[in-house]
Amino acid sequence: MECFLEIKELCKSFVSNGRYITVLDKISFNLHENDFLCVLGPSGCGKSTLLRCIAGYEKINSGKIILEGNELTKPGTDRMMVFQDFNQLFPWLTVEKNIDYPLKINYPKLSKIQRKELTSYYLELVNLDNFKDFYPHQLSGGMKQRVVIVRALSLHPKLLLMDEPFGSLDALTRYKLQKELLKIYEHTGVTIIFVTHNIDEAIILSSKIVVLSQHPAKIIDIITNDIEQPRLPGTPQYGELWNRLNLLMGLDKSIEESAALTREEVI
Amino acid sequence: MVNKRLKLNRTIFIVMLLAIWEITAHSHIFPELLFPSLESILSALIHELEKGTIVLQTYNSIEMILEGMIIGDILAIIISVWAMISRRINEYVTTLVSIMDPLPGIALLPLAILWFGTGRNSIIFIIIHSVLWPMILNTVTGFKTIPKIYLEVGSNIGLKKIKIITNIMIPSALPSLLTGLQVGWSRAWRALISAEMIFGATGKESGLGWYIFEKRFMLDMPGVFAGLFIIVAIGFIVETVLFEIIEESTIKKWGMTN
Ligand SMILES: Nc1ncnc2c1ncn2[C@@H]1O[C@H](COP(=O)(O)OP(=O)(O)O)[C@@H](O)[C@H]1O
Ligand SMILES: [Mg+2]
Repeated sequence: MECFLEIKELCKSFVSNGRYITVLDKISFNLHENDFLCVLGPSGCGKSTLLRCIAGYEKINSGKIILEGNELTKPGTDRMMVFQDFNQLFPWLTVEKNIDYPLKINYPKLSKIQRKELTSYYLELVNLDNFKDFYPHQLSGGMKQRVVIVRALSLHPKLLLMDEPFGSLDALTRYKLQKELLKIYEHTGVTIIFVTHNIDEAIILSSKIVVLSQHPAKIIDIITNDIEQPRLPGTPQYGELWNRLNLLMGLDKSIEESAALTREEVI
Repeated sequence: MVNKRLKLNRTIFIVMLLAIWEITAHSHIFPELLFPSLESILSALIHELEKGTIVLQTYNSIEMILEGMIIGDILAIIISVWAMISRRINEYVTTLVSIMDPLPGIALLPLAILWFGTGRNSIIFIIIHSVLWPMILNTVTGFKTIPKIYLEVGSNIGLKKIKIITNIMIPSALPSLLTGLQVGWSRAWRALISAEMIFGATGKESGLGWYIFEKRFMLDMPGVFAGLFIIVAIGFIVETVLFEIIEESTIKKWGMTN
């Protein structure tokens, strides 16, 4: 059976200071439609780079990215990207126009009224219909990210690519948005690749987790996450998965190692 | 609140200046011919306005500056977009700007006269020169500092090249574009008045600069001051009122100023 998304031996390196630095080393994985994949790895390991390759922003050195049988090379509305940055709405357009404009570009046949209906449908999905006439700078970070998410969804992407979209939010807002994203995911059935370095976030959201190593990024493990929602930190399965991911990311080990290093330095 | 107090202070200051002027004029420290009182300036102004020539001349000046600015600024945006295509073209354009920008428009007048004769075209040429370079400078800077994320979002939502330029790059760079427009305007306005004074009456189409020159020639000091008053008033209205309105309804409304 043909896979929905197939990443085959993806390699990506950057030239910096005249040297090649391999960031992604033969990354391969498959995704089914309606999967919610979390890509988990330490900061700087290459998660954003992987997502940017899939989005078509970066040229890959070798390998293949195949979505529904078509090889991907450049950006398109079939993959919508949501960044961490709070400034990805166009500041010169109101919240409503920020959603309306991409619709207008991509669905020229829709009438103004139809677009208006769609826009309020999507804004209602994230409870922001009352803010439609606001400009982005008048919104909080969490509100902006919600608008960005529905702007992406309104174009019916096959893949929603999210690069630590809640990374700059306070814990409470982050938790709320995670819940909202899950609701949207269930509601729309969109396939999501969500990058994070936060183990809890990966557990709460994902149906599948890819764990990456550092320098260069290789896949350490691919884990299916079928813990029942709501996923609560107190439950045994949660704890078990958390420990497993923590071990895979080598966090504790690295603390011990660095402690050992400092001891050696002292001696 | 602060704004209101500032405005009040400004008004008080202007009233004070006018009072000092009036006292000086009436004390006859300077001959009345050279230092007319406010009443005589005002009556000259009213008289000229009634007569209508000054209105026509103001209209001529404004029409010329608008024409020059529209041509110059559109040209500047086209050149700036072109400069974004490659690093080498960018280098050429930047070099050209750094050569041409420091050159005062009025210094080009002799050349302009040789090329276009003494008339409207020479003045338009000088206005274009005055607005073109600062506009390119600011537009290119504006384009270069566009957050990469807007361009990436733009290409993600399916915008093609032209739309990226008109609907993403230009609004993103608007703060710089407005600065460019403002610098260009003030340079062009000064160049225009100077150029008009230098060759003034060529046919019927003379402007404000020529008006002042003519009044000086006839030793009509209140008339000279009436002309200066109009020049100051237009400058003030454009630079302080018009640009403020434009900013309030665009970049300030959008939170694009810091
Ligand atoms: N455009 C680039 N040029 C050079 N190096 C880059 C570039 N983009 C990313 N890198 C390098 O690639 C590595 C991975 O970066 P990134 O994908 O942003 O990591 P993550 O998102 O996991 O934090 C980092 O070491 C970073 O310095
Ligand atoms: Mg990143």
